[in-house]
Amino acid sequence: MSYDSLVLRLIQVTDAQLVAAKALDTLALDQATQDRADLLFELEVELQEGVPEGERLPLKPLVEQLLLLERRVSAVIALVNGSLDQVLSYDEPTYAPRRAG
Amino acid sequence: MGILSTLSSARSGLNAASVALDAASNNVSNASTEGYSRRSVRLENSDPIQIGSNWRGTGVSVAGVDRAYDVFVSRQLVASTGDQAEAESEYGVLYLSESWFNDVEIDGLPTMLQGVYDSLTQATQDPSDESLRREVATSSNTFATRVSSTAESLVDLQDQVQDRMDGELSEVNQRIQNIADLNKAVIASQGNAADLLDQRDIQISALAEQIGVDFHLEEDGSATVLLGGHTLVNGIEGRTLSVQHSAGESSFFVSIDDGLTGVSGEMGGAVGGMSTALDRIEGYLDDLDLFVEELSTQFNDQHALGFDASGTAGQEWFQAAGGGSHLAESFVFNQNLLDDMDLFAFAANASASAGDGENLRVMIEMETDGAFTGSKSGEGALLSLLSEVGEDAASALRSTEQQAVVLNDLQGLRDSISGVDLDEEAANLIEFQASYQAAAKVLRVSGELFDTLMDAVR
Repeated sequence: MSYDSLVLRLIQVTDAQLVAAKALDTLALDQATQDRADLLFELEVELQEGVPEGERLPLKPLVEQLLLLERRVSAVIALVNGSLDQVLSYDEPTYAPRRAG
Repeated sequence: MGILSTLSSARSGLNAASVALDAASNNVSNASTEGYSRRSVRLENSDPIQIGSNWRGTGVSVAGVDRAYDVFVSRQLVASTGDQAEAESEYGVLYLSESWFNDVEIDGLPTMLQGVYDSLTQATQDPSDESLRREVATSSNTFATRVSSTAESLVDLQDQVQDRMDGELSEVNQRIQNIADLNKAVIASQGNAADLLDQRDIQISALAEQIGVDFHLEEDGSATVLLGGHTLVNGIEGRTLSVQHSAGESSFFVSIDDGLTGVSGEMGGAVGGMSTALDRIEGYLDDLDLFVEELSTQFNDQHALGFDASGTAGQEWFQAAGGGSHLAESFVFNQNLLDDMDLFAFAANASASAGDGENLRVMIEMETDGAFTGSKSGEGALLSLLSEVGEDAASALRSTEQQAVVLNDLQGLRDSISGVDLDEEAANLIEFQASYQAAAKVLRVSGELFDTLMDAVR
């Protein structure tokens, strides 16, 4: 797979991950995570060969787009984790007894 | 550990944790759902991989989602559900029949019979007195009407019970088919069928409540449902139950190979309770018939030995034409005597004076111990019948209360095994949260790859 195809596919998968994370759809999130990991494997293999000079310029905007998406996904997952923290640390409120009369 | 193997482990951790999170949220959502069995996720280490001379872990994987379930307790619960429903249903019908005998608004049958003898005793003061004769006629007529209305009410109750049995049987056959269909779906699911198994448990429990059944589980996951020794559901095939009613009796059959096999003796649950109550009511009606026959014979025979005002032998005092399924339904005081009280044959001989009450005195003496079956008086026979009705209802009530205690204990046991403990689920959520956080943290190392890529295109 060429670099631009790889990065485009990563953008699609990360976008799917973002949608799933927002919808709390764990099945879709897992699938997207799995696809993402597979693509990262291919990317690491490709990177060992280096990026050909001719592909660098057109690839730059795509990588920037990918990194932007990556930050958004990270933010959403952090939010969900924060919510879980909040739910799990919630204590039943205690109320003062009513005064007689 | 390299980035990719770390990612792989993280991914498997995420997957396992999300399945566990789904199970926990499902448990919390269904904490109050009837028949729901708690789910738990069974995790196991994925197979490690060998890299050079080293073995590396590859994370965890979901080995399966278990359903907290104990077949022994479930079978006990199903059996107890049937027993409880049977006792409760029997009591419900017997309570109604008892109310017909012990109507608090009007005098009970023994008191009314005693009223007949009291009016006859009053009439001995002046057997020719019209007002005293009217009192005799009124009390006899009222008593006979009360006996026949009680019998008719009991027969009506039997009819209503049989109608209800028809309705229950229709539901039962649908339920049997539902269980067979669920068996089919369970077999097809190849072990991943917790929701289907819960649904099937609910159907089996409801079936037990209606007719009292047992079940056992097969290796393919299907449940075989039995009524006594007869199979109702075998794998994906369900059989049909039918009922045939005759007066005061209902017989049940299961269809086997185009034929019918009787299962009346095996019937439990609400329908079994109704069937038992039906038999008991039939017994009360038989007793009432016997009482009516003996009372009529005694009064009629003795009245026939006396003579009325015109010197004619006495007509029948009570009559029972036997038009219904029971003699007692048609029990009446002779309309001729009600219309013309000069026909009362109180005199011992045809030429006696109008005030002679010798035969009347003999009629009163009939109310003695030994005059009725069981060496009882008429009132004693009725009191004995009432006592039997009351004891049957009280016994059914005791049984209902005892079965309720047993059922409650078993439900508590079942809940301790299969029920959802919200505190425990909260603990599970904490565990899942930790898994998510760990997996997400490791995933962040993918950023290293993107940094490399970004450096390359910069």
